[in-house]
Amino acid sequence: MATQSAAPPNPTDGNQPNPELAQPTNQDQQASGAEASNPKSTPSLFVNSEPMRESGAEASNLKSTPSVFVNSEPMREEQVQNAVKFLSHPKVRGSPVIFRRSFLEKKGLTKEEIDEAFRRVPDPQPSVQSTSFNQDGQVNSSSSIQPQAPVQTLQPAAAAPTAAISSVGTSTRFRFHWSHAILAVGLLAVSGAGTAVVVKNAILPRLKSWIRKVVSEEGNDLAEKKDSKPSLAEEAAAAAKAAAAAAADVAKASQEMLRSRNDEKRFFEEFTNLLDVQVQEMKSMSSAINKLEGQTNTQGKASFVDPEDHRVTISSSKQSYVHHKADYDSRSVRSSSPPTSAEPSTAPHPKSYMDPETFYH
Amino acid sequence: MPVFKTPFNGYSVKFSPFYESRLAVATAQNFGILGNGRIHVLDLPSSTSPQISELASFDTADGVYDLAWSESHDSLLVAAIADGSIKIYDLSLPPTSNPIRSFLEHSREAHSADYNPVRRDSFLSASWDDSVKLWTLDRPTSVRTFKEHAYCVYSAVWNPRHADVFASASGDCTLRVWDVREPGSTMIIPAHDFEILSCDWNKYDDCCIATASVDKTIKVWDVRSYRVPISVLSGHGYAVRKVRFSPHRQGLMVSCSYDMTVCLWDYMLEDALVGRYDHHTEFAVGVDMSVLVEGLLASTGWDEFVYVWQNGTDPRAF
Repeated sequence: MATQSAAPPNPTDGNQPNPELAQPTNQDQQASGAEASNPKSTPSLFVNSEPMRESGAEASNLKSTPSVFVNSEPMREEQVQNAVKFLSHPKVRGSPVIFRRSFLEKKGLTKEEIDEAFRRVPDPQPSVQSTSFNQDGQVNSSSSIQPQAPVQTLQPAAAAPTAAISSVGTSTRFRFHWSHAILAVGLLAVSGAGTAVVVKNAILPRLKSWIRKVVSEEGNDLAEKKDSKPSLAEEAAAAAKAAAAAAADVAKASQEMLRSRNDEKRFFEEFTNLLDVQVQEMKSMSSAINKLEGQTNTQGKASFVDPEDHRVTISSSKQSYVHHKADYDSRSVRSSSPPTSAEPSTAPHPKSYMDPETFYH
Repeated sequence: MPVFKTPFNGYSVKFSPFYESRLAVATAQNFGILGNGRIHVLDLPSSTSPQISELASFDTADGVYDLAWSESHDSLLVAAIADGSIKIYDLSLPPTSNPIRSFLEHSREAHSADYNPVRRDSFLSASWDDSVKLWTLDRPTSVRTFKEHAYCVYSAVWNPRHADVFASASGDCTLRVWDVREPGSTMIIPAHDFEILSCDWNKYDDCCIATASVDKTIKVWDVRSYRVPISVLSGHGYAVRKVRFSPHRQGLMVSCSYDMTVCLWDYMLEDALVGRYDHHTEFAVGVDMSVLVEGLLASTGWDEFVYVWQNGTDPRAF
């Protein structure tokens, strides 16, 4: 990147922004040349500075801030105390070290403070500690001895084994999970088998004996059963019987009602039929008289037609009667609505009463 | 404004430090969850070609999560692959002889790659196996492994001024500053209460870092006084996926988020949000600012589009 590499290697420019960075390419070469020539001077920026810079101001600046990218604050004792309290909590003791570290980091503790807190709290996981030390290669003593090695060299060594251990821990936890699952399945199977055995041995015989008892009781103690207090089932049966009887009574009553209604209707129909017949006869007689009066010539035809008409009307009225009786029968079977069936059945009846000609086709 | 449609979902876009009209896009199939990946190297339209064109493309067996251009060779690319490997591609060679190197050491997905802009011979890879690894091109194995984070490391970025200093952002909600010469991290900054998805150094102030987190904010820190951030930038609707400082203006930075927008911020101003582009129709996951052309932005997202536009213009305009 042209503009970025044009940044001069002078460390003071690192602390004050350099506005003139829109550089032409010749300065680029200058910068790269300068850079190549003094790689040794740039490390001095980050370690305790050697006065290799030209100006004394720069040197003092460097000494006061040996590296801009390092925590230059002193350790905050209260933060360390809080961290020690946190780490001493029993629940925290059970968690992996990496989670404890990341929690403290999230709370804003610097590395030195975290390491100091870890140093102060005795680590209850000797296996973790000893393996980390063994991998460290620096301390091979027992777990209780804390390393006196510099903090920073401990960090990556501890970080790597703690990460590895946490991963191993999680993996062993996973393996425990699997064995846990197998154990659970086994337990379930055993319990199922046990219940099956128990059912077979204890419950089934009990069932059989109870059945036998019931049968025997029925055979022997019929009378006693009658006299003694009836059981719930018998009470229920009696209640059911009473209910059935009541229902039967109700059904009978409704049926009788229906029958009576049917009879009434029949009588009514017969009456109307008779009336019909009477009307027909009167009509025929009147027509005959008219014809006799009006047409003395065509006597034979009129008299011939009338009895036929009369017969036809009688048969048609009989047919209508039969038709409606069939309707009644079909409707009486449906005992749900006898009153409603009466009306539609009577409705066509007046029609037939009014218009006997409709039945002629 | 040139738009390129990738067949897979975009993950990262980077401008080439050598050619101002060249950029590389890392893509992964099926949103990077499962499937293949592809790296596209695109040429922006110029006087000779009016359309954005694909210079080369490399297929990978697993999704490509990030890539970095080499600072030493104009045709080398470092790709972080979802199977944990780091692959080096050479554009000057035919696709059959690519990748020229494949380093498989991470046990989980490699999420980011960054090339050292000062030394120009080494690069970092950050992985979901909680470690950051330092590599050089000539060695077959990693030079150093930095394993201190307690959760996935989402990003590792070199300091643009100091050759051996880098920062790593992790899902354990801390930002760590490392020095390659030291055995462990030199600073631990508990930057957010939620996962930190990205970090970047200020190109003009080598002590200033920005972190982008799942808590929808971007915090700008000064490592000299890291207890309190310099500023907290809110404005995104969802997690901020990536943040990049501008190589041209000190306070300017660009960020992309799962709210499908790309936002421009200037943390030195009172009202920090200076621009917002909502051209994407899916998560915007990759964004970059060109070093060679001031104000040129590129972004990519899961909607399989790569947009390249000048700051202040509409990315979707033609």
